[in-house]
Amino acid sequence: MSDTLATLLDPLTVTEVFQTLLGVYQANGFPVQSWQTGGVERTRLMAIATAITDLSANYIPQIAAGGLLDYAQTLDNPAWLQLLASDNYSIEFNPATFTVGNITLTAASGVSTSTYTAGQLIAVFAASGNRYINTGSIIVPSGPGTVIGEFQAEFAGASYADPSSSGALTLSTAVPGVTLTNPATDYTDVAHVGAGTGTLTLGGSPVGPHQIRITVDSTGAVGVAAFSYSLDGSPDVSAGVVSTISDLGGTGVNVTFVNGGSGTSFVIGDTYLFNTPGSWITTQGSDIESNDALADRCRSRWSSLSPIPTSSFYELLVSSVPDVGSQVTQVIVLPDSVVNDRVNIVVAGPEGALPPDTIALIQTYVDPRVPLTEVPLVVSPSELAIEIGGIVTVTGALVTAVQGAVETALSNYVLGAGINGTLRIAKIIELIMEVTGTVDAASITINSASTNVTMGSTTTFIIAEQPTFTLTYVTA
Amino acid sequence: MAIFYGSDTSCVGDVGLVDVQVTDPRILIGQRIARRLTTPRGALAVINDDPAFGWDCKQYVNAKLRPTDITTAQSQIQKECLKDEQVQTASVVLTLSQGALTVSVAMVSGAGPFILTLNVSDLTTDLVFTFQ
Repeated sequence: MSDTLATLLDPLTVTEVFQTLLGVYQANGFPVQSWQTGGVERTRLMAIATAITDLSANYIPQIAAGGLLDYAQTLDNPAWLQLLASDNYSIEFNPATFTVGNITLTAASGVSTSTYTAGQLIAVFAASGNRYINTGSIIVPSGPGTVIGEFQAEFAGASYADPSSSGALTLSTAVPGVTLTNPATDYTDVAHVGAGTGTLTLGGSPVGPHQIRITVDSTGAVGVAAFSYSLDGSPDVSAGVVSTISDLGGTGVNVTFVNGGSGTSFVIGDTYLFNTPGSWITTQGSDIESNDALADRCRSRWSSLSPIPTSSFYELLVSSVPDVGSQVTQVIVLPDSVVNDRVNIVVAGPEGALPPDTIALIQTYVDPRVPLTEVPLVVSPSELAIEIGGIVTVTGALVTAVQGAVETALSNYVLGAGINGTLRIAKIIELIMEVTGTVDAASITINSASTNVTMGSTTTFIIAEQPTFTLTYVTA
Repeated sequence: MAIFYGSDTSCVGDVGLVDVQVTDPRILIGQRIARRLTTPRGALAVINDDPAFGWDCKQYVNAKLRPTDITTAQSQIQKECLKDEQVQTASVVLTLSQGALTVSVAMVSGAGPFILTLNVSDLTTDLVFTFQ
């Protein structure tokens, strides 16, 4: 077994360095024997010995570790790994990004029109305390009236993931008569990958959350072009040559195909992506790439040398997309169960599914970088609502504290299950019982059933939403 | 047979621009004691040296000193002086008069007796040593 860096870099102690320096001085005729504690030269040597030891024990190992992937990954200062990744692997680390979303400003009757320049308005979500700042000029109309403005998170990071229609959304400096809301629309914007100029118009009354992808199967204008659709990552269903798709897959979604103004409206292979329901968030922020994630990308670099793409190659690609790579924190790669050579790359972020625009950017980045025989398809998992119920028995006056701790632990567990993960009753009971003050956990259910929940399959991709709780707390 | 006390760089408050080596035993020991009495306890621990070295007399400047405090201070200074292995005895007199603090340390070393006097006024916190 080879040595570790620690065994190869045995640091010198202060005493060892001091003795070495004393030897040098003595050899040059200095009366080192007479130097007592507090003596000028002795104190100088101790200071020098301390500095050299610090170099030996801290700086030199860091410099050495900075050139070795496994060790650079463990350093507290991420700059070492970032430098190594850039220099040796041509991989730039993903910086933290900002969440961006649309907030509706409603002016009550009697409010006169006002213009607010970028940065002048700060929206505050009471539940999280998160603050968002307007990115451009917003003209609030005379009341009654509404305007939608784009707001960006005050700081970068994934924690800026406030829910739609959150309520308790206010301006930090109130404008009399102006209120804020962040409603979710029925649909997200339609993201388009390809060269066609045609567009989709969405309507109907969608039921439940879904990820929908429309693929153009033959080129042409409406009435000539053929389409197929995929619901929640499932195999494509041909819709044939149609101008509309009504009640797509029984979801209540209606799609109308609209020719572009010029050029070819629909081009074979083009895809259109959208989700229902929409979200007030148009761009989900992300944390700075962790050392572990960056090191994984560096290791995945080896697979890019092979003409045969592997899972790690696809993982490398989707997490290296400029500007949005850092949003991808979960990836699973599965061969399609129906279409030969198609590979489903299921991606999600720290807060769940990613916006269609992000998926489209990833698809656009991946397409030209894979062998011609491969057909990668970047998909987003559907989100599954999770409700955890049961009875938790608690000691005395600890109900409030236990409730908070239990819900935090269970939320982390559910969100951490990942794409196509499994939620287990036993684990939920274990997490509840680990909270100090808990005496018992009984009748625990997930979505009203006392059985484990396995999300997704080889053909469907599902991730859990932030869970809700119907736990009853009783005192022992 | 004369005892050789070695030599060291001359330094009380700071080393000079020109390196001056001290060989006079009384100055050598006196400067060492002076540095002891201007070094806060534990300061040398930062460079992995003796953590019990030093007793900073600046702590008495502008301090409220009752007679019992002065007695205690004299004892503390004496103990610090006796830590030097070449100091055989030390007698400390601390006087506070009209805002001026004077610490007089009469010591006997192997090289003979000598007096170290430290003056501190209420206008300055600089320590001024004289060696006799």
